[in-house]
Formats: sequence, structure tokens, C-alpha cells
Amino acid sequence: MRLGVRSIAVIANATKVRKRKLSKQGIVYAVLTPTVLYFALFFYYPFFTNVVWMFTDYNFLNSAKFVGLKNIAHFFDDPYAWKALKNTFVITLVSTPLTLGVSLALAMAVFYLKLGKAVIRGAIFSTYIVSTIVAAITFKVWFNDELGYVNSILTGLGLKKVAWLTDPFWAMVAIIMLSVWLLMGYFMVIFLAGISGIDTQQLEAGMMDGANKRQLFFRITLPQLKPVMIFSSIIAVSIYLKTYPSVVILTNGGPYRSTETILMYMFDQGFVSRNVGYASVLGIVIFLITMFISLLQLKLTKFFSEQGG
Amino acid sequence: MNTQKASRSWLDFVYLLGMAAVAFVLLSPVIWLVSASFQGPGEIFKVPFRWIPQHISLENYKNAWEVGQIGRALWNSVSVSVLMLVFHLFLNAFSGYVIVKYSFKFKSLMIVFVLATLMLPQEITFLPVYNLVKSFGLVDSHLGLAIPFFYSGFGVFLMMQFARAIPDEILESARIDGCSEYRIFFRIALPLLKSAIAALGIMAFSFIWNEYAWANIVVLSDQMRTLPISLTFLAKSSDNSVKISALIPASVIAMTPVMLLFFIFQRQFVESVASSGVKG
Repeated sequence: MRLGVRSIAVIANATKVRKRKLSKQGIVYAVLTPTVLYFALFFYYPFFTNVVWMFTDYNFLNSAKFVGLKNIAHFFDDPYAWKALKNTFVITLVSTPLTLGVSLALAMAVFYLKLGKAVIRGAIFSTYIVSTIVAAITFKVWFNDELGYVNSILTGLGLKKVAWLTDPFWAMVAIIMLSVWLLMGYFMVIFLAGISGIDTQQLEAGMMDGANKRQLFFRITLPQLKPVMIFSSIIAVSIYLKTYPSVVILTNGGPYRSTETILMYMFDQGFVSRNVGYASVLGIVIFLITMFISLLQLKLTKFFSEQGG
Repeated sequence: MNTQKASRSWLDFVYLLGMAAVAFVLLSPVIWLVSASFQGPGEIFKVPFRWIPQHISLENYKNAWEVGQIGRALWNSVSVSVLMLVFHLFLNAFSGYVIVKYSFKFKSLMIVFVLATLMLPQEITFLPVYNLVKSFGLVDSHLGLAIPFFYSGFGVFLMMQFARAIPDEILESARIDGCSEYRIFFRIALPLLKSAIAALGIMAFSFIWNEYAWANIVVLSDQMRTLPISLTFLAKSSDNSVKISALIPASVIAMTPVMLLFFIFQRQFVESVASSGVKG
């Protein structure tokens, strides 16, 4: 039997297609096998190890010893854990609305600038570029009781000195001020992008109808910013729940653990006290809280988007 | 008409001055830090503070360099950042591109597997990851400092978003021209992902440059300290004005590389943040 030119071409084409398919398979396996292995090794394996360690006594040296629910029971009557959780919630619940409010005000003010808009935007955004550690160091020097800049301004104004970092209440105030300062530039830029995306026709229609600036802001601008606001609040909450290095530098958790956060307590238990089993319980608690709050916020998003139509 | 216009631009100028004042107040901690770094130990806490130093002194910098071993920390931070960035950008870009542009078995499972890690606060993995890194023999090394950040769920996600925008026709025509799959990625896809890589690079660099929680665990010797770790040590022991005057220039040194990058790539920085918000 003789093969026609056409059928040879068909066979050649078929092998070409098969080769192509093989090389496509090849790149998928070559690239994604390391990806799967990495995520398994650095995310899934540690997470499940944490879950297992919750039920053990472990100190990184001897092998883990099964102790049942001891660590979990300890969590429920450990006053330090609850205090750390409370401090973390206070930081999160106060800093989030403050940060979003300040950022929105800054974004509106920058948005209406006619001259030097990019420069002012860049200058305010650059606060976000300053690292947490450097900002915390600066705030620590500024809030120093005796020598600090803030107290010298207060006495200059005829006010009393404040024991910023040694009084539990004022230490918390200082931490919240730092937290807001660290993220306001970031959210200002996000809000600016949101404001620029607002339907200007609606604003013009509103102005034609004789609405004043306040009405325009609350009736038109703010509702349209809702998705950006919800996204920002999710990000802000998830960052503030993990407040850690700023507190290490500013107060190191003091005075009397009044500013210790849950993540700080977890690392302290795990790597200083070497109660790895108990630190795992704290880690899983952090995980559950983050999950719960994200789900809650997503539910709220759905609720509001249905409300808004 | 003309006077109206003039008063208008005059108002704009006053508005700008007002906003410049606001920006100055917000930035004052940074300006204070830079200014104080050039002043002697006695001058920093003088009332009122001199925003423009009377006489510039580099004594503090010399002090920080010697006492704080800031040069060593700077070298460590640069090494770890470069190592992390090279792997992070390459691996996330390649994975995100392959996930989006190829069809394979369990594709949707793969996407869930990677993106589910976004819900896990990475800090809580550090206890077991410490054991893992120890078993690799990487504790107290540059590689050990960088390895938990080679991939991230966010990085893959971002690259998937941008890779979707690459038209299939371009890839297909390259295939017809006999281009190998790897060549297509390096020669065609990678250049098209440039802006995504820039955005991820900016975010990843500002993350790793400031990373504290993991470094605090995995650094054991003084020689391996990164800038955040060195600064924290200095900050914890700085209870008098002499030590504080060494801490301040060290902080300025730590801040400078990111600030320089920001001034050069200001537009990209702002855009990468702005786009991350709108997409969400």
C-alpha cells in the first residue's frame, strides 16, 4: 500500500500535535510540582503540625509528648492570653475606624487640590514607606517621658507632662497613634483611586439640583466608596490583629502586659518559654479569629451590596 | 473675569500651602529623624528642636556604624532581600502564568490549594517552619531567612490576574512558529508581565526589608542580624541620650534604600497600591 502525500502530512501533523501536547504537559509538571511541594511544606504541613502540637508538650528539643486537652484547658484560664487578646482587640477596634477616617479625609483633601497634587500625595504616602521598626523607634524617642519631643511641646503649651509609655492607658494611646500613622498613607492612596473612579455625572446632576458639598459627599461620594471601604476595613483589621514589632519596640508589651498583643504572646510562649504546644493553641486561636472576622466581613459585604442594589 | 481668575489661582495656592503644612506635620517624625541624625547627643533633646541642624556632625553615623554593626546588618538585609526577590518574582510569575494559560487535570483544585493559604496568617506557621528550616540546616543563614517567602498565595494570585490579560493568540502563533513552551514564557509572557512583576517586586521588597517576626526567630548569631533585628536590639537598650543618638542614624540608614527606591519609582509605588485596592 502506498501512502499519499496527504496522509503523510496528516501523520506528521499528528505527531507534531502529540509532541506539542507532551511539551505542554512537561511545562505544567516542571513548574507546578515545586509549587505544590512548597505550599504543602511551608503552609499546609506547618498548619496541621500546629493542630497536632496543640495536644502535646513540646520544647523543640525532646520529642512531643501527648497531653490531651491540657493546653486547650490552660488557654481558657490563662489571664495573660485573655489580656493579650483584649489588647489586640482594643488596638484593632480603635485603629481601624480611625485609620479609615483619617485616610478618607486626607484623600478628599488631596483630591480637590489643583496645584501640587502629585507632590502632596507622594509626601503623605511616603509615611507608608517608612518601616514599622523605624517609625516605632521614632515614636519611642518622641514619647520618652523626660526627654521626648511630645512632652516638651506639651510643657511648652503649659500642659502637664504625660507618662506616655509607662502608663497603661497612654501607652495604648501611643501604640494606636503609631498604628494609624503607619497605614494612613496606604489607605489614602486606595481611597484616592476609589474617588477618581466615582461617576462624575452623578455629582454634576447633584450640583444641578442644588445639593451642597456635604450632601454631595454623604449622598453620592460615600455610598460609591462602599466597596473600597469594605476592602480597606478587611485589610486594616487583618493587619492590626497581627500587631507585633511596633509594640515590641514601643513598650515591649508593658507596663504590666497592658499592651502585649496575642501574636507577641504566642512568640513569647513558643520561642522564649518553649511551651510550643501552648503556643500552637494560641496560633490556632489567631487563625480562627482571623477566619471568623473575614467571613463576618464578607457576609456584611453581601448584606450591604444587596441593600445598595 | 481676569481678577476672578487671579483670585482663583491665589486660592489654589493657599490651599496648597495648607495641605503642605498638613503633609509636614504628618511627615514630621521622619523629618525629625533625619535632622536629628546629624546633631550631637546634647542637641537632639534641646527645646525648641532645631529642624535645620546648626552644625552638621557625622559623629553619630560613625558611632552607629561601629557600635551597632550597622554595616554588617545592611549587608545581611541586602543579601536576604535580593535572594528573596529573585525567587519570589520568578517562581510566582511562572506558577501564576502556567496555572492560567495551560489546561491540566485538577486545575481548579490547584487554584484552591494555592489561594486557600491567603487565609492563613503566615506568622502562626513559624513554629513548625522553624523545625523544618532547622532540619534543612538553614538556621542562621541568608537562605534560611528568605526561604519561607519564596512563594506566596498573594504573589501567585496577582500573577494569575495579570497573566489572564495575555492574549492566547500571541502564545499560539509563537507555538506555530516552533517556539518551545519555555521560550514562550521567557521571551513573550515575561515581558508582558513586566508591570505586574514591578508591582509585586515593590510590595515584596518593602515586606522583606522590614520583616521582623521570622528574622527574630531564625537569626542566632550577631553576624546574621538584619537591619530590623539590629535596630530592635539597639532600641531595647537605648535608655539614655548617648545610645539614642546612635540609634537614630542607624534608623536613617535602614530607611534610606526603600525611600530612595520610592523617590525613583514613585508612580509605580502609588499605582501598585492603588490597583491592589480597586481590584479587591
